[in-house]
Amino acid sequence: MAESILHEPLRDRGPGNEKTPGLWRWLWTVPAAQSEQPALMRSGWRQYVIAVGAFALTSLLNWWLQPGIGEHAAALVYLLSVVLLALMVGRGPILLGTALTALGWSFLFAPPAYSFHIAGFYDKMMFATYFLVALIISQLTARLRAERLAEQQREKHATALYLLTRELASATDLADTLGKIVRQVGQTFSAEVALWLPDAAKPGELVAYAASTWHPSEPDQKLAVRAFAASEPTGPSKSGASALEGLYWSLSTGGSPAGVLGLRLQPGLKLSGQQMELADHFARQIAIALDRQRLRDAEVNSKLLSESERLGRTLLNSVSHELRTPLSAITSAVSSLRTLGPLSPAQSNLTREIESASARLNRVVQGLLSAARLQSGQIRPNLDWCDVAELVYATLRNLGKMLDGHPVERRLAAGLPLVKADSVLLEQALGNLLANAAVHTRAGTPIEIGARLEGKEVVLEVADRGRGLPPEQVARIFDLFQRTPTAKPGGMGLGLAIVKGFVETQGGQVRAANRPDGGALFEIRLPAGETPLAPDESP
Amino acid sequence: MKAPSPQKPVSVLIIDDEPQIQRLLTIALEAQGYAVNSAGTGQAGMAMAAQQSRDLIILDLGLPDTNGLLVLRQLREWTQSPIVVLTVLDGTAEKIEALDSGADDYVTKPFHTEELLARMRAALRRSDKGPAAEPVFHFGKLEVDLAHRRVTREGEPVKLTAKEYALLRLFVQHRGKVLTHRQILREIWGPNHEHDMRSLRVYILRLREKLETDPLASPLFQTEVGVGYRLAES
Repeated sequence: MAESILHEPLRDRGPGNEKTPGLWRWLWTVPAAQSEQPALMRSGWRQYVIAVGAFALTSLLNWWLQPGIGEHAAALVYLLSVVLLALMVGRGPILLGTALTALGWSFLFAPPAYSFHIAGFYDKMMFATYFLVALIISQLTARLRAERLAEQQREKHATALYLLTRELASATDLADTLGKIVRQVGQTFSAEVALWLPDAAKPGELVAYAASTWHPSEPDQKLAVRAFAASEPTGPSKSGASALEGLYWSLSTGGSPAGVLGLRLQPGLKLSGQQMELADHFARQIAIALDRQRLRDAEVNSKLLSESERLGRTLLNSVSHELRTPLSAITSAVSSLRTLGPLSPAQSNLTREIESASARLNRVVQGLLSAARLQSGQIRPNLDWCDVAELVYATLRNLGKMLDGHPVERRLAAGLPLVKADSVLLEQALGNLLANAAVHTRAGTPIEIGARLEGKEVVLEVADRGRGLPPEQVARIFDLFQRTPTAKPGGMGLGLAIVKGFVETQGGQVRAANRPDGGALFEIRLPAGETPLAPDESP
Repeated sequence: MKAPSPQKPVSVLIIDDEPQIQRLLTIALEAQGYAVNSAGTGQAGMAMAAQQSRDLIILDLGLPDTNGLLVLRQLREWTQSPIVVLTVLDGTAEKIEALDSGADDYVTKPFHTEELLARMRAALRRSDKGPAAEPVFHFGKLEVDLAHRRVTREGEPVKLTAKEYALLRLFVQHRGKVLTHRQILREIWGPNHEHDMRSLRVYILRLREKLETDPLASPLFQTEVGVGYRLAES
């Protein structure tokens, strides 16, 4: 499809040509394609020169032949020249040729010669018949030619469409599809092409395809967006903004549009009705191809997703087993050493190192497992009444040596109501907050843990006197793998994400803030139940 | 650290599929004077337990061939020997199930050997004496005299309601042993109140207020989060 069809723009055939016209009208109206000429003879005045030249040559020929063949045969020679002319030139020149040959015959050959007067009735009849026959024959010839040209145009359009669909069908992925669209559309309409696709990140918005051959200006972009929203072709004519350079088609197969196609034609050119129709067909084919590509991508994605979920579960199970088993062995082996008898100070220190390292590794494994369970939605909270003060004490006891070196200040309000929570998840959340505070603050700085009633919520609070949170991080501190830039190396940003996940899954909320007088503060808020009043005693 | 007397070693059966854990526990327990055998599967373990009665059984709930809980229930059908189960941290439901099915105690992996030894000793002690063999229980400055239904703290009598006392007595009878929420509720409030956690929390809270001096350093009622409570041993 190297050759453009735009150089031969087609116009719709007038309505008069579609119906059976009156004879006179039929004779005078020449089919549209008649005016479409090969490039060589396109310009009008050349065709008239050809018509006049043809007349002059034929007249000379007749002049030479006439003594032998007689004036009636000369009329036939003129007729032949008109037919030949009709094969080559347009409506005006044909009419001129017809008139010239008729008049030329009457002047040069019909007796009396060199006069437009025709003497005999027979010759008058001859003149009238000649004129009519010449008209009819030239008309018929022109029509044949027009139909042939129209046929060629249709074939070209069909070929263009076929090539487009073939190219699109052979495209391997989205990038390939888009590249082929830009190339094919550009060649077919010899125009510059712009493509927009829906923005995956922001629904309802468009992104320009980077490899477009045309990158439209701001007002044009707006028009493309309008085409996208309207799901129908738009263009400068429809928008009424003649300053815009492009034509736009919404690429839709009925559902949400798959994108927008924009064309910028070469200056001075316009699309004919048939070409608009072809462009509509193109837009539909492209939309189908893009939709198909979208479905294929979705299928591949969902396959990948289920595959990765399966992998995730397998990994979870094997991590759980393969890491915990040796960890158990290490922990129990090193603690057995102590039970076997008194250790030297150095041995005792070394076993402590091994113990603290394996405890840390155990926390990491536990954190990974918790995060994985949260991510895969495997956490189902088991809600029941809990005493938060009791839970705070249990958490502090279970953390054991983790909080060594940090004085813990407890501020537990008396008479707190019970809360409906999952005690196991809540204990781990609280434990993570405390461990987090211990890890991120210097030894010796206090950690505060408080519980109080605030309105209809029980607020659990863990606060430290460390450096606090970077202000820009406060909002995202609970995101997975979020670590503050000032944090000590180590840790993976899992702890707080698990806190958030565990608390939210049981209907609570988490909040992080910096304390006005220094340090970070984390809150867990849970809806309060009834105050634990003494239920009626029955012996 | 009181080791069993050399002339009559306490026999222990370990049912665990991990050879490494088997070896480690064998070394640690033999060093403490226990006579240790081990089995790698639930089937083998049950067969060995049937051949020769053991004083204590350590059972890993995560066995490859059969469900550890199933092994536990089958063992409980004919043996009264204390059973200590090994479980994972996120196995709360499993722990409750094991305790309700007759396990004497549980240890969460990864565990310290001292902890396991302490749990074993406590379980052995309970099985030796039987429940409530000792009518007076001491914990710090707290004294509970089951024979005279008297509770004193620093010599001062503590007033308890009938339900509070019943709850305390249950714990004293099973001191050192984890009682699941369900076990406590069933025993004190009746089978129809198995799920009345609110009452349980409220009563534990009130017993703590009346009896505990330092809930952090030396809690009388040790919270086994998500599972139940354990009364501290004197």
